[in-house]
Amino acid sequence: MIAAGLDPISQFEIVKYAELKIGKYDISFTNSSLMMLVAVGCIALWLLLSTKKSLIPGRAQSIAEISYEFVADMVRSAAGKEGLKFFPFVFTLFIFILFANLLGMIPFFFTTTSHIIVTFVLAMMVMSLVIGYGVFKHGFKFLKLFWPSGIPMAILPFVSILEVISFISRPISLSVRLWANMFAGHILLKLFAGFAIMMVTGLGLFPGLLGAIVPYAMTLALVPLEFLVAFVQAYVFALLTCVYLSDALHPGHH
Amino acid sequence: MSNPNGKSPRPDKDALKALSDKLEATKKSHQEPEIQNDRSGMAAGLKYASEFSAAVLVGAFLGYMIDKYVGTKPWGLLLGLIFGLGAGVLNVIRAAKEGMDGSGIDLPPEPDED
Repeated sequence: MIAAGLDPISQFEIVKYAELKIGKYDISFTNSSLMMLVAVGCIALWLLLSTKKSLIPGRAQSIAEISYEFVADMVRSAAGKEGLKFFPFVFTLFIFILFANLLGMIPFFFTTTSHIIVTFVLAMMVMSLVIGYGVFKHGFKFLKLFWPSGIPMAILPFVSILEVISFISRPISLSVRLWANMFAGHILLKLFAGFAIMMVTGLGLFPGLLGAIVPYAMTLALVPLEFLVAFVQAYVFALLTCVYLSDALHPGHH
Repeated sequence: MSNPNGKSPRPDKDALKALSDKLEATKKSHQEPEIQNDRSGMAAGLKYASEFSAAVLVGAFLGYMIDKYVGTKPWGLLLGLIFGLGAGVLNVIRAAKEGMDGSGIDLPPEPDED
């Protein structure tokens, strides 16, 4: 009975707020959609209110400028100068994932990025942009991505098969990485916090409080780590996006 | 001569070089440690696990699909699995290369090593 409220999985449950259907597709407005809207709303508010374009930036404008510099540097270092034309896309991805991750850290808030379908769609957006831009820019030469130069003819077909599989696996590994980090982190947090509560309810107040010290300390240690993971995973996602986009810009270079 | 001491330019150059060397050395020792690669161990593990398993899954899936539509059971799945494992190793090597310089920031795309 105690465990029912402490079930570490239940936090990922999708709850429908408004039932919507187009044909046989269920596009109901859920808690996940609500959190995405909240994230977008927060970002919009922050960027709209902070960018008054004053010469001496205030606090909010400083943060906006720093995040601009941060993402621009990342794009420049990973995809080169031409990569900067993808800056709006990468910035949007980074800020959206960052806000979704961080909002998920607020107690009782739903974490959108802890569902693999959300991260997979984000990864597929990246991959379709890479393929679309690569084919648009280089046409047939884009296939050079799978035909690396400087490898003996005898093993080139096999290497090319490996490259193709590696390319197809990219969106999967990209999405799984973000999802698994958020998912595992939230389960871990809930598990340890749940232990602390179970100790008190199970052992009575005084021995329970004593026993709860260790899981409580773990929770305390995990929270900043989770904030770090939330940031690092958004960064890694954006960085890998840049690396993949640089493939679209210059196929044949690895 | 713009030499304030009126000496030959040679020792001046040497002194300048010595100074720039010294400056370089101080700069190096004072350099901020770059962003450490301090993502948690779990994140690092998930990184390699996802890279490897994704390639294996894709390889096996492609092989399975070939089997299904060409009718070469079970060879497509077997070969796909083997190629998937190979691609997984390739992925892991690439993923490891990304943080190789210890800064946690990916190296810029390098030209083909041949």
